[in-house]
Amino acid sequence: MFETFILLTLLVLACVSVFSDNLRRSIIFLGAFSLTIALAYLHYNAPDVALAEAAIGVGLSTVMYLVALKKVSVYDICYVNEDVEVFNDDQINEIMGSIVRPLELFMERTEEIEPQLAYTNRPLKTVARENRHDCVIHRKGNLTYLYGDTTDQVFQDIVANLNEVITDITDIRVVFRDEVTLDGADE
Amino acid sequence: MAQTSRLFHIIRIAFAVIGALVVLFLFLNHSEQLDTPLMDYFTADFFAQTGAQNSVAAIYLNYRVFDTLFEALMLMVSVMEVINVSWANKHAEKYQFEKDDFNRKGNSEIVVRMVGIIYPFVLLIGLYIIVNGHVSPGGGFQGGAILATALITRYLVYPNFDLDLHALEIVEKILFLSIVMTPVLYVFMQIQPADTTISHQIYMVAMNSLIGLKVFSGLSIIFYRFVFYEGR
Repeated sequence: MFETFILLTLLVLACVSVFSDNLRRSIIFLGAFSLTIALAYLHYNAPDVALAEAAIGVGLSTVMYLVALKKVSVYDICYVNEDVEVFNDDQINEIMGSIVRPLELFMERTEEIEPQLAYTNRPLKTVARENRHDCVIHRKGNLTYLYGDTTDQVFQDIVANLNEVITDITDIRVVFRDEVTLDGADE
Repeated sequence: MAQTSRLFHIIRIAFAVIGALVVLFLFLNHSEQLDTPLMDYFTADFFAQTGAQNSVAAIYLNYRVFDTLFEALMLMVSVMEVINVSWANKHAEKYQFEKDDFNRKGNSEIVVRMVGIIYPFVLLIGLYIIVNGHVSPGGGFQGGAILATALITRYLVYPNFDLDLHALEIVEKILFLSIVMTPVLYVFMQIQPADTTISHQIYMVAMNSLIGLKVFSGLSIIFYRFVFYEGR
């Protein structure tokens, strides 16, 4: 009975920590999982292993994950190109040298922020409405638009250094989302 | 593209299911009951032979001490690897010369007070587990991990970089050397003051303390390296 209860609790805690949508909550559930599995080891007459699990799993790794989570900040960039039918590696390689790599290098070296890029061919308005990206790059024909917020310091830095960051494309238009409504931005 | 990816998906699932079935089939049909000669050997007379009341300590400090040496080596190699990987020096300098001697900004008052209360007890239980490793459950590794946790919780209260990691690294290497030397002299070459239980127990306590200090310094180096030399 006790054994079944512990094993079921383990299963539930593992699933919850994997499927939880908040990373900090996941870490706490992982700590609870470690504590429960230490109890299970104790139940199976392995107190040494239980002690190691309690020290490493609950103490060390929880604190380590929390500190790591505090340190990592991700900058979320979305690349939108409605003309492409299906996004595959060829399309991404095409813009890799001109936009993606320089921008990532700028993020990592100068801003010291982890860049995260997403590619989509959905219409810009749906993207802007449904997901809150920090920065949206919109390619339309030969024109490149950059959408971001005026309050965003990182975006301000990108705009200020745009000539050095992206050298291949000279004609880039910057749109501040909080100053312009998206409907009027296309002219 | 969507179709091929679905095909791959089905193939992957089929592989996983077939693999699981094969493992289950082998497990259910080809398992045989062996006797327990090793367990009998290790648990029959371990107190008289090794002086440890805890059979696990008897195994990892006497019967299978060769494995312990390589575990210690493994930890040291991973520490060296972490040091090699994290070399963003500018951050370390930034933190090293911080004049603010009690930088409390952004720290929860509750955490600060609770860690202050718990801290001596954590240190105490870590030392207790190390010293009593041969009598009760525990040992060098567990106690060292608890001590390292205590030092790491210190970061939550006092996030300034004032540890000499280089000295800690040298201490860890010297400890590794003594971890290798002690069993080689005591167990393999049988250079013992006397073949009594007391002598064996002193050996156990010494080994556990060495391992505990080594694990403590190794894990602390890894943590502080990640915190101050990596990221922002």
